[in-house]
Amino acid sequence: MDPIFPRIRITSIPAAIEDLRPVHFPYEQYVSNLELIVIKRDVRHNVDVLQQLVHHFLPAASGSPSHLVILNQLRRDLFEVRRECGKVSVNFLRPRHRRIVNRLQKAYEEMRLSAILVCQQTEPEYIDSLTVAL
Amino acid sequence: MRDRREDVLSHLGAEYKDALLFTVELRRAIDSFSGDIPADSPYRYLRQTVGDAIISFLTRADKPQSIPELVDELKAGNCLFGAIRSAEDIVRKAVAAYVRSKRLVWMDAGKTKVGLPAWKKR
Repeated sequence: MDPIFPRIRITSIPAAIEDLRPVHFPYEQYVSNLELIVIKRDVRHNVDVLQQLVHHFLPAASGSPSHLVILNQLRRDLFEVRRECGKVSVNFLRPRHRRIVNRLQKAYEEMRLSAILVCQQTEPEYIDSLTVAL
Repeated sequence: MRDRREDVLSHLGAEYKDALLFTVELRRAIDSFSGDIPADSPYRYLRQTVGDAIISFLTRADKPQSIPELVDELKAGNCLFGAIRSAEDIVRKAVAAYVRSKRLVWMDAGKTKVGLPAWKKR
């Protein structure tokens, strides 16, 4: 039986990079149901990974105001991305899913920038690896 | 052809991993030096985060700066940005986070110049 509160297992940037899934947003106007499901699944997975990372870094960052600012920004962006993932398409608006994907992509890009800033604070040598992994 | 491709890929992967490990060791060597880097050094922002570099520049400049001016200064001081995302995006994001936490403020209504909170009361 899985524990209700699983132990944090992402405790470093390299561990997060290994676990992240690259997300590619489609450029076509038409987005199929399957594409949307896959995008949201991978985005949610990445949000979970980055949330574990934030929870791991927060106690150590409590003595450094600049670290706290960036970690809190990442946490806000993660919540925003999760909120966008929860939105569903309205049937009569065409093209279907395009509005949802556009807003999700915008929120995801902001989250990506916040993650890059967190990486720049702790292990800047992994900035490019993290950008590609996200 | 396929074997050659895989050989080249594995060679490049090994080089990339070695370069990353070397970067980690270089970073440890830099951090082992005590004391601050001089304010006029071309590597003055090497050990600082983007936010701290912006605050230290604004403290020295003593006047509001725009985002492009901040980017130019941080690049001149060799602040680490990575090669994929643009420095403008990263600085803009850092400024937004710091303005939100009130460590920086927008000095004008058009949000073109950023400054320290104490300057707003001037």
